[in-house]
Amino acid sequence: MKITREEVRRLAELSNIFLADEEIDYLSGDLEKIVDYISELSELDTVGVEPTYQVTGLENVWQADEVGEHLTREELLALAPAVRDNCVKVPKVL
Amino acid sequence: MSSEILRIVKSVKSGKSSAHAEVEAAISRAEADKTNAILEIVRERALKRADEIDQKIVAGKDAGRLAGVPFIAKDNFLTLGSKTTAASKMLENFEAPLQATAIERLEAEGAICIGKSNLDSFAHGGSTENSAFGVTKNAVDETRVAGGSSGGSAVVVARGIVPFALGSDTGGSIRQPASFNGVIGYKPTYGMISRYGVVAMASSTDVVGPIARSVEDVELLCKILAGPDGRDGTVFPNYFSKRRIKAIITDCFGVLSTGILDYLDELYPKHHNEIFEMHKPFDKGEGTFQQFVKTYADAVGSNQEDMLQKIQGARSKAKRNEKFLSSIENWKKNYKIGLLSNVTPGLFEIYFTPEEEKKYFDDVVLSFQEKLVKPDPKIYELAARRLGVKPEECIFVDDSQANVDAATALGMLGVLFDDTEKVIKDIDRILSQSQDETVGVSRKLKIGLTKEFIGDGVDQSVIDRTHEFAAKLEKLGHTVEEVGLPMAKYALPIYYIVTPAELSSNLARYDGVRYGLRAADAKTLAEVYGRSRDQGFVDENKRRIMIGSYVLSSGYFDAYYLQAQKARTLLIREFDKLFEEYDFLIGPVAPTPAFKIGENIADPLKMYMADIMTAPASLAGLPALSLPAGIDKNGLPIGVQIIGRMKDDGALLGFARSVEGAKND
Repeated sequence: MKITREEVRRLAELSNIFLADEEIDYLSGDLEKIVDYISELSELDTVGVEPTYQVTGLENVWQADEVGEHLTREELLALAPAVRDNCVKVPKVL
Repeated sequence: MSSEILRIVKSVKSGKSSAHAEVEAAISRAEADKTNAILEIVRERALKRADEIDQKIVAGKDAGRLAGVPFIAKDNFLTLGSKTTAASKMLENFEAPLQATAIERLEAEGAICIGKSNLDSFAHGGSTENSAFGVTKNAVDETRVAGGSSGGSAVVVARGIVPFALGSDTGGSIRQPASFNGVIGYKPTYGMISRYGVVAMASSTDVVGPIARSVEDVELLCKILAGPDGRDGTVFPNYFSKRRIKAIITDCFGVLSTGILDYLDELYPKHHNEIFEMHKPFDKGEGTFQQFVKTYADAVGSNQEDMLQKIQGARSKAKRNEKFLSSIENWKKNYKIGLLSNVTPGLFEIYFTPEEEKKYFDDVVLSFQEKLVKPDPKIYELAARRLGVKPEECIFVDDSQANVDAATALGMLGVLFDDTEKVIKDIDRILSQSQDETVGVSRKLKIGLTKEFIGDGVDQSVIDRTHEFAAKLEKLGHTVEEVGLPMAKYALPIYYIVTPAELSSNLARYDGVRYGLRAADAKTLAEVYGRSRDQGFVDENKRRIMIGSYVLSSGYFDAYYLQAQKARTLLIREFDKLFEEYDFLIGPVAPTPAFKIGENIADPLKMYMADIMTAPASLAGLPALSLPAGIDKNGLPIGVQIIGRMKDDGALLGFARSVEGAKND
């Protein structure tokens, strides 16, 4: 399947990655090869087969609603690239 | 190969060496490393912890099962005292505020993390060439790749810098580099070890596992690492059992042989109800043999003389369970065997001669002798005590649910006897998982050699080493047969749909806002996301994220993602079917030995082929071990893979240990 430059731009947008033009050039070739390869699966008859999303069969693992030890606000804010007034700072949105 | 970990622990605890000396030595080796396997050496914290362990030992306190053992963790495990980069620009300066559960578990036993190893950025790759901080060279040949993504971890173990390292495996990332560098890599059953604090890649196949130089060390590490911690809901309760079985206690009638009631039933079918009614007191251990004979004689209207003769002849009509008895003989070589029976006086001796009693049992407990009957807990305690073991060290087999329940309540491992073959299999599995260091695999196994992995496109030396391994297993008395896994050819397309889908979601968290890289030139919020992700990810990260977006986007979801998850079901069914007949599957780990640095880098698809033999077990969640199997003509290591049933980790490692030992003979 042909992966056009437009398609790569759309995928980059969905993936929130700003790609430079030259990146789009070579990535479109790579992605086309990969998509061609994974498309081999279409030949397989899977009518009536249930999908497997996870292999353990575990479901709804509950735990007691108790206050435990957690990281402090200071520890977490220390990780952020920009902080102001105990909040993570980002460029103006509005 | 003997345990290097145990050697270090012994030497540290005895004062011959010290944790400080072991850590200093390992750090020196790490500093001298020229393979770029290590991204950061954790000097300060490691030495501080070593001193704490030495103080504990001097004070006579327990310093743990890994006291003073240095190790290196793949740099996608969060650790204190160092950065955790996932070999990415995105996390180049990230200092984690917490440690991964796996690291905590090892540290709690006295192990010391001395460094972080290189990987493909975010574990995306099979060569460690996708690291943002340079390629890691193969331990044997510096012009070749280390494999990946846990390339650094495999190399530091292969080069003797540390006795073990931690890796993560999503589609082969522990097994393939282990194979490329000639060490042992283990991908446990999905859900055996907590992944809390490990940088997530694909949540439905990610596992944590050790890389080491002996199976014994892998086993020891798994014992320490396994089990839930409350912070990863996908972890099973610890089935990697801590239980050490020393004895098997079995019921007699209904398990080893049909009993007197079946016999009398056959002789006097019309008197079935009376006989059963009359037998009740005897079932409780009451009465004498004479009373017993008289009761039955009366019940059927015969004379006592006649009945006595008939009863004495009961053995010849009894259906003995020869299959189970021969398993008992086999188990008796390594375990104590006890018999615990509610039985009428005189009857047991009719069914088992004194010679047979000696042949099958170490001890026989009969209810009438003890004036106790099952399910009274006292008689179980007595049976265990007389064998010199604790109840929790016993397997108890009985055809009565009430009797099994009573044994279980006491801490024994109760097994309800229904289908002979199934019970034998269950017991064998329990025994091989019971981790009694003195017991290997005593049973002869049926092994499937996956023929799809030794066909076209596979290096001849890889095929040769695999066949030699199969021949070795046969020499050990196991049966090896070629088996088909036709879905294997679809495993890689499935894998390269499912994992990108999952990782594109998992990597959405790297947005330049709360932690990690924020692009300096970002002016708007959209640019913070987009530019940070462009600068923080390498090409392979971007390819996979975009493929993930592709297969999950509307219009393609059903054709790719859903189709892949359905195909995954078909693959798992094929595995299930094979494991009905075979104990383990074997095959190569990768189609070639380590390839040249740069050889595959221009072609991502060619690089993906390195996962072709490891992805199937990942998609099915099965445990799989990469075991060194020799070298090719250039001296490059080649590994073989052993795949087991889900949760059969104990048996798989026990089997691997027995094979590994044989290699050195």
